[in-house]
Amino acid sequence: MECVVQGIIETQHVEALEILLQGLCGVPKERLRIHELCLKSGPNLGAVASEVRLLCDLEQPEPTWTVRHVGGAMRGAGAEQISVLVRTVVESKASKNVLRFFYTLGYKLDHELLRVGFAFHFQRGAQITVTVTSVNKMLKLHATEEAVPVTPGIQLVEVTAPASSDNYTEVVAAISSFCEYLAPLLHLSKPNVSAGVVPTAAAAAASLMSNGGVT
Amino acid sequence: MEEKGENGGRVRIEKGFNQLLCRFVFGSTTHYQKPVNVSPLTLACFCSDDVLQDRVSILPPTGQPPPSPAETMPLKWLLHWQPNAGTTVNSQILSEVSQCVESINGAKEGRWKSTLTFYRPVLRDQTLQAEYPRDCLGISLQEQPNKYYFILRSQRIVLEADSTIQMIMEKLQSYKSRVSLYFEGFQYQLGDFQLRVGKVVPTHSENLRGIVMEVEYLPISSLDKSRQIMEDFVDIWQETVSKRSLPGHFMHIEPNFAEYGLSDHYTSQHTAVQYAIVMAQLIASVRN
Repeated sequence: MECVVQGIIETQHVEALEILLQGLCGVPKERLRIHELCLKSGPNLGAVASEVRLLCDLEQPEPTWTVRHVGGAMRGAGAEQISVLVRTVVESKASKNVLRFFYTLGYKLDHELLRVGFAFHFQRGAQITVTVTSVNKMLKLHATEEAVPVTPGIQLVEVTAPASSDNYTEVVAAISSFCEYLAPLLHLSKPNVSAGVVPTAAAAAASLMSNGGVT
Repeated sequence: MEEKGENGGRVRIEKGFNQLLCRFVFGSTTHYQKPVNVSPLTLACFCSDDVLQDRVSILPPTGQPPPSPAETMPLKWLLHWQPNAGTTVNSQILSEVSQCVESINGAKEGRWKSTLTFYRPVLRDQTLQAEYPRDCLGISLQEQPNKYYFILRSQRIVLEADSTIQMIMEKLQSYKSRVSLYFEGFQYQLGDFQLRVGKVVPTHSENLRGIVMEVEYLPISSLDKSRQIMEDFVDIWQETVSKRSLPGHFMHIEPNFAEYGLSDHYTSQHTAVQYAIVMAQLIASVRN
């Protein structure tokens, strides 16, 4: 299981966000360059359609592969009331022939993206990860070197934390509390519930840049 | 005569050794053809003469220390029991085989178990079955409790993944597990060899479907460098088993690992491929 919120930020304010996160975190950022391939089952395979994502970490000296399955979100009146999405997620590291394996099983490439940016990891009531990435599409198959932004000038911010059925309420509270630190720069909400950019972002960014960081 | 082992260890050999012992350990009758790391127990394992051990002096290693365990993995050959035409495998044969190991001073250690599962695609149109892998096997190995292996034998694909891949396959619902088999039995230490003798049984039944034996040679990870010593061991093993006049014999089929993208350096992926090959042989035996 994981808890997740998302938001967007203008690229011009990313440096300020990085200063803020660095101040909160205390350890250097982790660079991200992830080739994400979204595979869907062919028309005849499975009683219902299925989807799986393959993540290739291009930042490593030797690219590493992860298989990721994102399940349905928690439903019900309780889920409607919380501002954080709670969903099932299962991941598995895999050998580098995993794409060929899934193709042979009957999966097809639906789309691929290149996510470039950075991440910070926090321990604040939960194991929280904040990723800031530009999402890029490839004009030619697997051509990561020629990727172009899907939304030029805008980057995606995700705040995630692993959870279980026993502790997800605490994790939700930890994420909600953490998001308040970022409120001047961006608004974070459930995925697919976008609030756009925050009006105070420019002023907050200017403040961060002129102060040289926040402790 | 003094020879240098792979890890720099040296063993002094005296003439007049027991013929069987020399052939098993060294690959020829009187000296190494390929240097090996040999323990005193290995040298003495086939010899009932206690005096022999006093005739071998093991000198301290020299030169580079051996590679760390993380860099090397002992190689293994997986043998399976091939019944004679018109006969089937039974528990008496398994018992006799185990006794054979013990008769050559194999020290019984713990139990071992690996699991193999057949997966089948879930198709909306069954007439299109030929478009999908005919044999998708999932394997969980004793030696890698946090890993899971998928083998698509027809396409020569072996995938290594975390064991959570099973949960992902369960959630995808595109392939479902149908039949699972246990490979289980006892493990024996025999000098530099580790042997595992096991029965093959369905997970919810005690019907014996086959007998397998893992022969693991601990000092070497190179398939090529180990071939002679493994062949020598298997020859001696076959000779030992043949004295029991059992209705069958052990077979070893070496897969073309290169077709699976695997190198000379042995890994658990090699083991997974061997299990897939043996499974195919066991199925063929039952059909015949």
